[in-house]
Amino acid sequence: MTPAPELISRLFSRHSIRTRLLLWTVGLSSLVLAVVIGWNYQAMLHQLDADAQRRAAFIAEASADKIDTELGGICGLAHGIAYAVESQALGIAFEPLRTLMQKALLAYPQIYGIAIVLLPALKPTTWPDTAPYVYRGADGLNYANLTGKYRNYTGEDWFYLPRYLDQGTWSEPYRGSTGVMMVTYSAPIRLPHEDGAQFAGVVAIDIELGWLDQALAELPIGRHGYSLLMSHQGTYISHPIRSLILNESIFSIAEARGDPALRAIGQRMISGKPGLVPWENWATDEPSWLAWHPLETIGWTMGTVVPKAELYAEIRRFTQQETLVGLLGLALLVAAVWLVARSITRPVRALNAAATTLAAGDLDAALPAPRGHDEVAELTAAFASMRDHLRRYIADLAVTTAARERMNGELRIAHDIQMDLVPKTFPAFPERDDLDLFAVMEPAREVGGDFYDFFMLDADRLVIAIGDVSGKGVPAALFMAVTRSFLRSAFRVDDDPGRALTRVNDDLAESNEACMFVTLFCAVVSLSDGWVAYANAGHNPPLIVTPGGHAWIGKPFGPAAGALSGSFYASGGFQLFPESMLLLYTDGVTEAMNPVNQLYGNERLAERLETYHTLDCRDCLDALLVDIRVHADGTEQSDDITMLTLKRITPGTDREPDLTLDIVSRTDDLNAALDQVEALLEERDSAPRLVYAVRLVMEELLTNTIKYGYDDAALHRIRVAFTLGSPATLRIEDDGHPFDPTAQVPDVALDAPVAERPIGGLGLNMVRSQTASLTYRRDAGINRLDIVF
Amino acid sequence: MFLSRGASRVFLGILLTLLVPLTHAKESAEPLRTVRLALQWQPQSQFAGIYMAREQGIYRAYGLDVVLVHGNAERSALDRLQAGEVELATSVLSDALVAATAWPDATESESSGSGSALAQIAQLVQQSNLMLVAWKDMGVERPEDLDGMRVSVWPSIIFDAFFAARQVTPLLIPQYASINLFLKRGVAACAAMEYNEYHRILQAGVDPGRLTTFAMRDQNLGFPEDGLYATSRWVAQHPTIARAVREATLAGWIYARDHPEEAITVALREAQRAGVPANRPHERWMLSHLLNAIFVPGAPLVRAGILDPDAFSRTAQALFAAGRLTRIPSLTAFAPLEPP
Amino acid sequence: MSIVTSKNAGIFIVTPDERLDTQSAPEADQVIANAIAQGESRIILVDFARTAYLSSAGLRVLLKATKQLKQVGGAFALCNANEQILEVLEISGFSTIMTCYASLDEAMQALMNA
Repeated sequence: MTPAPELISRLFSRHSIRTRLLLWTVGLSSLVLAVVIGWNYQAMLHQLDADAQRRAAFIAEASADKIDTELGGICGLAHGIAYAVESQALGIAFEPLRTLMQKALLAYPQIYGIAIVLLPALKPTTWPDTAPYVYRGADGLNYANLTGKYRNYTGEDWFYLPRYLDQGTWSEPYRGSTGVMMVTYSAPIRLPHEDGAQFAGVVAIDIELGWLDQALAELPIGRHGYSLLMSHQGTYISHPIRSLILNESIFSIAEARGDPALRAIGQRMISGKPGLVPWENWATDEPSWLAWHPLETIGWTMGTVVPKAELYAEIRRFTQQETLVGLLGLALLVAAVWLVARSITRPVRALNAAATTLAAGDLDAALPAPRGHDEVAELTAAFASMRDHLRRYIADLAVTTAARERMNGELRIAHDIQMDLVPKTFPAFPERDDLDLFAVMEPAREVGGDFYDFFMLDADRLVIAIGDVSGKGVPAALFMAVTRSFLRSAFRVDDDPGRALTRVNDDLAESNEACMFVTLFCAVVSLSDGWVAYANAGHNPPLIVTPGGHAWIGKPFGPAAGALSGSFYASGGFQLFPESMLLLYTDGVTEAMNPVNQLYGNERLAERLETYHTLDCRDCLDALLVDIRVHADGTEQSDDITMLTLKRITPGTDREPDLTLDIVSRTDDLNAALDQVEALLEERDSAPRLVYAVRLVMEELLTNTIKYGYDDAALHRIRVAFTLGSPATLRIEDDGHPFDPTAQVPDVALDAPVAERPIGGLGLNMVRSQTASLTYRRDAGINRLDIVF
Repeated sequence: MFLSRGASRVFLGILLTLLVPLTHAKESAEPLRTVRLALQWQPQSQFAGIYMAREQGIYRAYGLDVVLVHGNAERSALDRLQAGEVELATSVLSDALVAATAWPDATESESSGSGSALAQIAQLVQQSNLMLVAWKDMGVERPEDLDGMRVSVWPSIIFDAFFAARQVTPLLIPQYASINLFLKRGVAACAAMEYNEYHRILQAGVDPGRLTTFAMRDQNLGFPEDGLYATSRWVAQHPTIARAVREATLAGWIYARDHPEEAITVALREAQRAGVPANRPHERWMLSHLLNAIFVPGAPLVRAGILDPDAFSRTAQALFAAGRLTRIPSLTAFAPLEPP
Repeated sequence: MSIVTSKNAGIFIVTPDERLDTQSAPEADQVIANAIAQGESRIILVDFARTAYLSSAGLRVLLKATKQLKQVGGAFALCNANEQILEVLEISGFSTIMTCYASLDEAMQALMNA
């Protein structure tokens, strides 16, 4: 679950500044507004509740006052009459008393009747009646003796209560004989006695309460409100539901409804203390307030019921107005905030747009003009400054990049030169099956200046070379190219490697103002017999591995080429047997570093080559490269890695010839032999070109031997061994004069005019053109010529 | 009561099947006999059974036209009976016993020894409802606490006996119709009928917890109350009518018991007609208490309306002991009608 | 005799046998030399229609014929050479000094026009 603050921040941070500003201000303002309105509402509710209470209390008090005014005087009157009677110790004459009563009635229109009622035993002898009663009739004041009406008035409340309570007492309201509700106030008449005051009777004044309903109806209690009056016993004296009056008390209703809460309210209402409770109007079921206040004079309770709706209507009206004003203010606030937010966000947005354009690379994008001196203006200025810096930086960068591009271009060119110089097509001599040669060069990131080369000097001899030019880059590459050219031309002039190197050194040194030099190893390999002649100009000694072990080709050893003119390089030689492998390499191999700066080293190279030498050359070099990479373990290659391996394969040594002919040195035998070979070839479905070539070579060479090989006229035997295969080979052995067709390069001027062309020498030329290689050896008086087609 | 509710219906049914043909015969034979019945007090549920007997035409069915005369504080029902204003009256047993031996116009045989000026037609309220109610906060917890306190009571030998038994001497004040002196705390205790005044006190907002009550029946002073009476002479002259009054009145009470709300409505109507303040909860309270006292729970229904000889004896002995009776009338003289 | 000769429209046509090699070359040489010497024609065409093999001895015959005819102001041409023969001519450089036509008719046409 996301914590709430984070949720809020996420919620808000998703929106634009303007929205957030609006959300926050409007949200908070709304909250404050709502709180204020709510608080006001509550405060007003309280206020109005208090008002309602005050109103109820006021009404009750006003009513109490009114009733007090009405009744209080009557109380006084009753007590006054009582005092009058008491003061004369019942000695008062009857008639003046009756007159007093009549006057009182006339003075107090609310009085229905006045009675002066004595205990029967205490009736003054002068009095005709014990209980004179003057009351209003339809036609003026009437008189009655209550003794007649109430035989046992001593049990009536109006007599009984003041008697035993010994104080003026209000009776419970009752319905008089006229049907009007009445209440009686009785003041005790006490006579002095040796035991203290002694009760003698009462002055009872009946008061009609008809005016009460009228008075209460006039109370300002609102349209749906009403007032009620209840006695000290909770009996309704005034209530809009008239059937309740005098019949029901709040307690009887509580009992009927089974509502203990109502009974509790009733008890509070008659407790003599004012109060306020939520109420439900019995007639309309409206939620209301019931407030009450005691009428202290008479001990009743005045209640007012004010519907809440009436209270709330006012609050609602006010709250509505307040809300309206608040919303108006809020709208103004929103407008203001929106404007301020816009004044902030518009430049920011413009800035944002400009920044986007900037980010897209358009540094000439116009920035909004900063206005004023606020933060946004500062930001804009900062942005402009940044843009300018960026522009400068990019300009600088462009220059730097151009320089680097140029450099990279040079490197690439150098690299291209380097890679173009070395032959990369393998197998290098697909037509030959007597050698296996493979070379690799893995340039370092910056060109190191390694190179290798190989070419056939003639049909039998292969020149191989490897070198490492000092320096890097294009000059090194060019120096390498020059070296290669010099080397090739040197071998054209002289096939001795030492002399070739000597010449190359002199040529290089001649115009070497940069004082560059190249370590160079070159060798001439005679493929037919495995003899290798070599010379070394300061290069890593090559490695030769035979089934019996390895050897470094160390001496002779001369200085690096190009450094010093006039250096002399001696040739060395060794025999390369078919099972052996020769490896030329540069120092990039032995000096390959691993992460802890350890060299690959000669020992490891020799050891690995002993393991791999039985593989063919390509596989062997692949294995070595892998091993070097394993050793480097991710360390960047610092120098070119160049290797060349050579293996001799002696062709035909492992096959019996398909056809061996012993030809007598006569032309007739020759033709028969030729037909025999041709028959064999055709029988084997050989290519017409091969058939032609074999016939041509045999005819030319054998004719030559028969014609010029012998001094005597005797017949000699010539052995011809033909082996079909790919390639087909032919060995011719004769005991004629030593003759090396490979050494005799007639160099026929083929394109010379017909007249200048010699007729002879043409055969050898054709033989050479039809064969892949010719290998001649003179061995024990025998000329042996191996021909590969 | 629970046992007898179903049985009471059966009883009423039997009663009606037995009597109605007879009365019908009478009704057709002769006009209704008018009798006047004085009730002890203003209209209230205390007389619900009688109202219902009249409302439901039960009296009529018995050939009776009963005219009800309500009493007041000025004149008791027995006063009216003695004055010959009515033929019938209701009264509590004790008052009736006093009147039965005290009335001067008893026949000579009646005035001697076991005679009775009054004859009970039916004993309706079998159980005492009389009690004293006291303000707990004025320190009344036990009967002994009433000693020296102002206590308002109706004149009654029962309270005298109660105070005597408890050896307390309250300052007694006569009590009349209202309980306002008590409510205004002019006395520490007042007399009350459980079915009326006690409830009126509660209806004035006073919770029972504020009150201490002493029910007389709990004080071994429970005597039967309301009964139906006539002069012995009248009963002797009109035994059939007297019996009809008894049966019809009992039938009216049974009806009231079975239809209490209807009975209360009638009682309220009577009160309203008489201008007497009344409310339904009070009348309901009153009726339920009276029904419990008339049809005593656990007692056989056939006992309804019959004066228990033991209760009669206890009451008479108590009155005699208190000096209110100079002699004790015989049960047969006091209740001459044979049981139904 | 394996070499066939004929004359058509003043052109001496030599058609060697299957091989023009060491063995047959002297005969061809003789035939051509005779033709030139006897004034048979100064325009000689060697038709290789039957010939599949040409060796250096044959080449030498052709070179000699070219040289001889050049001296007498005649013309020498070849035709109907197969692939191997053409290659031999190419390798030896003879293709630059003597013309080899694809067919007899083409050769005849060219020589007559010359």
